[in-house]
Amino acid sequence: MGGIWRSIKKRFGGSSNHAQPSGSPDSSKQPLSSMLDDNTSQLKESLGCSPDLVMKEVRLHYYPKAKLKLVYIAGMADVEPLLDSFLLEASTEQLPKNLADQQLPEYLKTTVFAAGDIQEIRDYETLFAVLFAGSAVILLDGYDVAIAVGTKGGEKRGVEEPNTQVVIRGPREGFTETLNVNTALVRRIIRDNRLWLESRKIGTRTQTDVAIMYIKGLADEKVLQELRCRLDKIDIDGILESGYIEEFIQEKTLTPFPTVFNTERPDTVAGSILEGRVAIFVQGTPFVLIIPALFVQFLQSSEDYYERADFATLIRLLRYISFGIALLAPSVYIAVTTYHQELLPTSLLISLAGQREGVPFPAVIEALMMEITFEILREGGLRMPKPIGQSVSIVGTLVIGQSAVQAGLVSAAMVIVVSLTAIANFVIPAFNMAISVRMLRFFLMMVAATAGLYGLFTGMIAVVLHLCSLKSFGVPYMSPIAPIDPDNTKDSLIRAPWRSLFARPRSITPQNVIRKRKASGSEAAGGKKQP
Amino acid sequence: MTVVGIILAAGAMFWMDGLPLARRCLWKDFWIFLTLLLFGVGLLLIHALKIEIASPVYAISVIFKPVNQFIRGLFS
Amino acid sequence: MLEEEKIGSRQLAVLVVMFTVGTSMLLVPGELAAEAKQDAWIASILGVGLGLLSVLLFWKLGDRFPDRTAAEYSELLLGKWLGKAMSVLFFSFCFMLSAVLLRDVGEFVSTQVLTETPIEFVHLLFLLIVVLGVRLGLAPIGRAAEIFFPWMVLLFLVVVGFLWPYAKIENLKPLMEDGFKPVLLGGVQMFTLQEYVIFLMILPFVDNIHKRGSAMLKGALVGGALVVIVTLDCILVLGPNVTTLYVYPAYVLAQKIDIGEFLSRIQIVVAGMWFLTIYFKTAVSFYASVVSLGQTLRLREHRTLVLPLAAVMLAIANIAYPNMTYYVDFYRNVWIPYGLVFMVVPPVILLTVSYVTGKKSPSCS
Repeated sequence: MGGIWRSIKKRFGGSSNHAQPSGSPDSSKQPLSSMLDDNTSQLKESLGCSPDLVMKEVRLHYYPKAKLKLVYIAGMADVEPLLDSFLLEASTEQLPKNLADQQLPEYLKTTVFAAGDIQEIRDYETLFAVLFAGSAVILLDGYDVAIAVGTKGGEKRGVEEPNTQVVIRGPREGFTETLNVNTALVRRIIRDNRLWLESRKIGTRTQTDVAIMYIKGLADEKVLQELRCRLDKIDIDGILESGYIEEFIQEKTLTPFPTVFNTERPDTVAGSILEGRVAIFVQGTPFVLIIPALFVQFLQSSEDYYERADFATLIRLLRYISFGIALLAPSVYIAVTTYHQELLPTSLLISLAGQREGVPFPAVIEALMMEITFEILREGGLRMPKPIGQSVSIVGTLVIGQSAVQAGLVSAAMVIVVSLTAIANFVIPAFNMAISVRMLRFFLMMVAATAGLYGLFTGMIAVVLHLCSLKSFGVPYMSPIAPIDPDNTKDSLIRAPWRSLFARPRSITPQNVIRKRKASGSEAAGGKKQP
Repeated sequence: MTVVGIILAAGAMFWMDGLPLARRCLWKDFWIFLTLLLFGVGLLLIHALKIEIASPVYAISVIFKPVNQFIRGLFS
Repeated sequence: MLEEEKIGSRQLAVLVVMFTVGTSMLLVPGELAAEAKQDAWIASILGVGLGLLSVLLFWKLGDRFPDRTAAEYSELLLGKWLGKAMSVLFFSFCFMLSAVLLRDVGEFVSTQVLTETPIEFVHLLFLLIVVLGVRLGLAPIGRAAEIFFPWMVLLFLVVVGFLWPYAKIENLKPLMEDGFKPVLLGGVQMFTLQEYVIFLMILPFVDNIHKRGSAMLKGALVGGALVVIVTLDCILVLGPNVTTLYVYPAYVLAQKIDIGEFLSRIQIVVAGMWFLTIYFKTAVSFYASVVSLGQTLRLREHRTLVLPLAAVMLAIANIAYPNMTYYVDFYRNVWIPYGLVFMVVPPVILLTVSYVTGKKSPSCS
């Protein structure tokens, strides 16, 4: 049935179904012509006479009759070194050997730009690809080949502290938008020759560079295969951020929970790679993806490894408690005040009842109102310009909360519950997990409002079941909590001292589980668990 | 009200599981599914309309009460 | 097979614990106290012992056919018609068990917790998560059980721990007042409430063949111990007469908890623990019934049966009994023989036939 429709479309629709990527000619493999003028006019036309396409005449000292044009995109190519090469050529006293034998392209490649990253170009598709990558191209008259020299330049941000994942103690480097800078930052940490990088271009119009980084022998081959397969399947015209890639490669099941981890910090990435995970870098964004991602990762932070073990353990426990509070606090409040008042200690019950006396709404409406108001305040505070933003969020919350209580719209206890929930939400280190919690909270509130604690238990069972059924690239999402792996639980719920952290997560690297460790046991040599 | 809900739920169940079965031409599965679904929904509707029907529990009671006597007899 | 993924032996053990505690914790103390009065705790120990014996039986039977469920090898052993009849019987037991468990939850919640809610709604809510679990498969159920297990143990310790101050040893006397027979009867009653035969349908899905039996044994032991402790507690704290009075004495027990004057009347939290265990019991039973029907009817995908069977289950749970009195009587006088017969007779028949004819799976052990 669908096949008939498709053939009808083909017959009558013509070639309009196939979108031509702009900037490249219809026959993408059109070769360069030998006539310089042909090439330059073709180039100019294809780019629509765009003013940032610069074409310069250059002369060679030893080939005075040769006509050369230097072509590059202003702002993307840094041609200073290139022009210096020409100057150097012009001032060389000594004739190169075999001058008469060498062809012009050879001469350029071997002598003039000997120190450059040279590529021969014979067709327009490659020409555009290198031009837009920031290289400069020398077009030659009389030859159907062009020489491209790597001159990547252009303005970019320097390495700064990441502002979404802040630590008290630890490196303050964060990734930037340039892929090579990011991969270099990680290579500086892991100086192992088995740290491999695979690159590809995704996005038909943006041709965004996407690179996979992993340690050969540590990363699971099945995961890598699956990842490559999913990346190859992506068919979209533009990749602007790693979030696009994330959405394409994440599991297909409907879930509010993230199955791909992202981070701005090189040390986090290095730690994950050392555990056998795979990192995905995307040109144009400092956020690097890490797969497979497990639930416990989203509640961990690199700082856990830089501070003392006992403190880190307590902080981790605190995070889990905060996770629980952020998810359940409003629901418990609703359930208890509506259905199970007997749970509260008598004195608390009396004061709560007194507070709720003047409130016209049932607990669930009160809770929903306050939660939604808080969400509005939070989102508003994010986008306000800095000077106003701070005051709006603090004053707004306090003033609105206080006034609401005094107006009798909500009870004071509700304001406390909502504020506690919001702050507990911020304790979750990974932002995407925090968002999931925010969404789930509402679902649980509704269930609690319908059936009290019974409903809440039902909802919690449903959530836990859902979590247990998730997988990230074949690895069960809830390992190592379930199925329980005692060796790895040491690092998920608590943070045992380095002496005992000698095993990599078995679910991630089935081979190579034991890291090397020094006899003194005070430092796991070369080993750093997922920060 | 409940009746409407039950019928809607039955429709949803059919759409979720029954249609894919039909699409994949698994006819035996489909008919079993449909039979069971109609049976269950029928029972639910009858209950919603407050019509009294015998529960299978009664059947089990009838069969096993004598067994119970027998077992107790062994122990007294 | 419904399952592509197998569960681990540790998860099997946890599931068995949940299964044992499930209905038993709430119903057993009352039942046993009615039969054996102050010796209820001895009866419960006996019941645990009998349960362990039955686990051994199922272990042996399961090992004869490591990769098939009871429904499958019934046909192998007894021939087409008898075998199909046997597997239909298995199905009916698993299914009735699930329906009765659903009714248990409904009964408990609508009489003790949400008294103004119609029981059908309670059933519906519970059924939704049971269906969710069974559709997701055995592996998520196993993992979820592993996650909830520590919480269950914690709550259990809270209940038992905070009540020791109220225990009165005199409640245990006189020991064996009516002789051994009531204790024996009580033990048998408790044994049937364990319903381990369901696991004959689950064993093939556990990955490590050698660890299956020991996992079940460990689970039964731990679960049984928990039930014994609760029964003991009930007798010690409430006394045998009061325990007999209530349908859910353990719940009454929880009501007596009073910690430092600010944490009292937390029985609902205890109910939550019980609620968790009965969820897993119901989910596993329902899963077993879906698989057994699917295999009896030779369906390609068992998942399609889940929703319609759930609808039937809901209907049965709604109409099962007219009132509480019937419910209690049913459990005491009908379910006990029913369960007893099913727990013992079919497996023994199957095992005997298997030994006599020498038929078993080409084993991998």
